Amino acid sequence: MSRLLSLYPRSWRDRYELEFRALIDQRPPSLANRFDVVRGALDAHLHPQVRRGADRAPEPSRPEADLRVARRLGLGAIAGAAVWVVAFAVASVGPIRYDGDGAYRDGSSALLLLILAAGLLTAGLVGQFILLPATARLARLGAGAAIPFLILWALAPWLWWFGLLVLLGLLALAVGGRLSGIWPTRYTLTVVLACAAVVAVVAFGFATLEGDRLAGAELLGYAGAALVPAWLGVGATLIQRPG
Amino acid sequence: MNHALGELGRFAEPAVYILVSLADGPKHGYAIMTDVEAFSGSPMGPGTLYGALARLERRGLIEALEPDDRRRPYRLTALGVTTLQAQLDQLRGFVRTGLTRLEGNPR
Repeated sequence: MSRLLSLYPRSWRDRYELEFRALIDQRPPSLANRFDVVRGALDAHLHPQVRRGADRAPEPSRPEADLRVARRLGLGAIAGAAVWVVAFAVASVGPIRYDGDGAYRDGSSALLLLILAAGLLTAGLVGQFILLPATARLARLGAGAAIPFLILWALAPWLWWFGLLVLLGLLALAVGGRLSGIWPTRYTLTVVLACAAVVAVVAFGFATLEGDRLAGAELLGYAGAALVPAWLGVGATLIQRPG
Repeated sequence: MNHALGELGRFAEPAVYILVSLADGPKHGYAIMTDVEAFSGSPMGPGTLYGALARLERRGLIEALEPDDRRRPYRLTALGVTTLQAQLDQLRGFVRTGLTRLEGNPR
């Protein structure tokens, strides 16, 4: 009978399953009753009478203090976006050096700035954890995945696939945030378009540069700059929360 | 069948049975099921029972009370009483008409 009950929609089960099971326990169902249950489940899907989440405890509203903290972390993310731009700018004017493979741009002078930016942006992603309810699983998964890869990417910016994983995390955060109704559509679109721009820049680099490390470093700078709107989106969603 | 119950489709008749069952006080699902079976002579499956309960509850004709262990009793609302009254009045007129005509039938 449990398997038959699982045919009912989630909202129906949230509301009626307990008492329905009590009824079934008192009178084990006949074959005809089992058929009746299947028919009832079909009806519950076709003509839902229970609003989704109607009998669930409402999501507790965020304490004021949490929202204040989230807003500050959002400001941190905005500041992180600014430092991020400066870090890539500093890296792009670093000295040209030579090794066995030829010329390359030494951006090591920007490393501390990049780590600082990653720290501030991580604060913004942590703020998303405070902001997002537990039910926003995709968004929380995205924010959680982006944090470690962002830190790794800041430590080794030439390992572009760390950046790719950060992008995937940001996409999951933005799309999941929209699906759960927390993120406004405009910020989700901002993040999606920024990630698409980064992917386009990197794909262009792979297609055209053919091992030119100087041009590659320049392109990496453009890719980093293209990501700035996404970081601003992460910060803005935290700042604009009510309270 | 009045308008409020007529729109319930195949659940209209079970809905009237449930309203009648609750007319003498709150009952939980199993009690309604056995009561309906006793006074109507026909069993009501659990899927049909809860399909009708959900519709009646949504339309404000019955309301759920605090659960007693896992069992949740239901009772008629004021709207449910009025609707049942109108339904039974309509049926009474229908029965009276039928009986009058039968009595006047010379056969």
